[in-house]
Amino acid sequence: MAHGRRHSIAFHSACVEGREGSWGGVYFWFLIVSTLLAAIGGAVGVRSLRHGHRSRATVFWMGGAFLAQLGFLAVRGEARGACPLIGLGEILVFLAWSLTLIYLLVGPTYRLSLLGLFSAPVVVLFQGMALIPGVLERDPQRVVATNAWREMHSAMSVLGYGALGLAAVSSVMFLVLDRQLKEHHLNSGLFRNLPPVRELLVSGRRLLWLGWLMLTVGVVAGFRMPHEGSAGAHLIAAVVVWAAYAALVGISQFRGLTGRKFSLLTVLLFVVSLSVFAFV
Amino acid sequence: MELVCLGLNHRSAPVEVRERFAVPPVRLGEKARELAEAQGIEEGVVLSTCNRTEFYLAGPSGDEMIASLRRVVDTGASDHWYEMRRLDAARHLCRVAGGLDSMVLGETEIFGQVKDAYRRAHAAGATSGVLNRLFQRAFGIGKKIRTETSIQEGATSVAGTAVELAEKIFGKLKGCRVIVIGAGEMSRQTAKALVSRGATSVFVTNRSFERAESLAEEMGGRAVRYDDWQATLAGVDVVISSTSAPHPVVKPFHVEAVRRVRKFRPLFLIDIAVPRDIDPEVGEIEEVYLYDIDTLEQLAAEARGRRERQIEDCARIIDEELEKLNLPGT
Repeated sequence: MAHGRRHSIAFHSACVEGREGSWGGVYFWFLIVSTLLAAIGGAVGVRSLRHGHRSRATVFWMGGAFLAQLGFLAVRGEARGACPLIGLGEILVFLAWSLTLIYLLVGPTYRLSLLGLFSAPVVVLFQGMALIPGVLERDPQRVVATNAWREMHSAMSVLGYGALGLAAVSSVMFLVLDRQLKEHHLNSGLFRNLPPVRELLVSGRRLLWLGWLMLTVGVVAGFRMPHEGSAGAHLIAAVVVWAAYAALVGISQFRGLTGRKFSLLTVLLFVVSLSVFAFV
Repeated sequence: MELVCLGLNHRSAPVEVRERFAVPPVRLGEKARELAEAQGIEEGVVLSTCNRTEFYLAGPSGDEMIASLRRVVDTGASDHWYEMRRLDAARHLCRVAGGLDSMVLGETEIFGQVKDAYRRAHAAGATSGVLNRLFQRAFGIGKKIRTETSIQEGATSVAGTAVELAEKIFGKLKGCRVIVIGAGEMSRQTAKALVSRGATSVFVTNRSFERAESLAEEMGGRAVRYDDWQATLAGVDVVISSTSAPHPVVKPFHVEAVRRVRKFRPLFLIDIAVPRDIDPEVGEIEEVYLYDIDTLEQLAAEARGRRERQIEDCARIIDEELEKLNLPGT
């Protein structure tokens, strides 16, 4: 039995090595292209703002970045034989993909101008971190035994984080606009092009609900999946994050929160919640 | 072939003169046809708004057209009329269509009025090769001015600035609830501007309840007794205050008292009274955006300044486009 398992691992390693021959480095190129496209999208947006108007092209640059992210995930997924969510590098790219996906769905739907401009730096940051040597596993090993609950836990959690990340981006936009309105600094291109206060708050709340619901599914799936020895700390951190988001969603929905407190908490919670991945 | 424009506007003539020569919209086509049939005139368009009446004519001789026009319209020897010919006339039309000649620089309503005047003249058969090409190009230039410059950006009046800020806070104003404290002229204008953009449920309160009722009726809203306005604060999004009280009317405790009930929703306070009606400390409350008359006037002045700085760019666009047109008669 043990011999058979060793044989199986050796076989999969050989498969991966075989793929490395044809696929080796391709995912890095996808990642570099995606990061560059997102950076260009952000830069184009900033340049347009300096000229007093918003760039309509940012959404297309972000669309290009999304396609390149898909290319990366497809190649890594092929190599893994599973959802590519193993190790910090893949998680960071999956997070960036999830944030871009939700931006592409939400931005045009709610006509939230400048959401792309504010999302692009987060995507560049996540993917830039993944590109740091050593963060992304160069030789992705094929996953021998996959489990539906594990796959659902990983995918739903990261998708949820994408929505929560975008809620944080929308909250940063609110905080900028709120400060400008409070201090009567109303002449910048940024002010003229930011969406109205109420729309930012409504979209932030909806994204928070969406992210929290997906996180709920992810956490439930996390309890159902088979556990290894080191999973305890990760699950505890995930439950704490889930509970904190539940409190924020509940309080803002039923008691009400000022826009500033809601936004500060959304940004803070997102930054703190990323620590969950330290326990992966 | 020559192009001529004869007209008067808010700068050259007072309203009592302008109203004598105003042509109702339904008669613009008929008047244009009447001119086009006059001696020496081949084409004509009549533009008439509350701020201007202008005649654009094309024909073989400018002098002959002016003489015919003065006979038909009976302009008399008034020096309120201005006369432009050839390229100057074409340039003037483009300035008018682009809002550069309007009382409120950069306003866009005039564009539709020029379009309507041309459409009516065209339908009446009063336009042909020269004016058709000129007006089509003027519309293109008007659009280009609006998209390539910021001539129409920013409100230039206190009421307009308040509306823009309200839209920046609430987005579409449909469903927004407003309370007017003090039924003065300034608050009436601001409330009307908000209502015209979709605000509903206007409450009006005033020391004299009759005046409150009168303004409320005008706005399609409801009058509230002066002693009861604080209860209304919980349900409104915008407060316009313009009383003649010598001390603040809206104080921090008024807003603090309703914050929980309001679920900490944004509240926009417009203080257009001197001395101020709203205690500046109210603006320290997180969800409150407080603007007083000085700030609103300063924002309006800045917008006017920004628009004026665009005039040179607009003139350059007009000259470039007219040069490309190379129209006979200019």
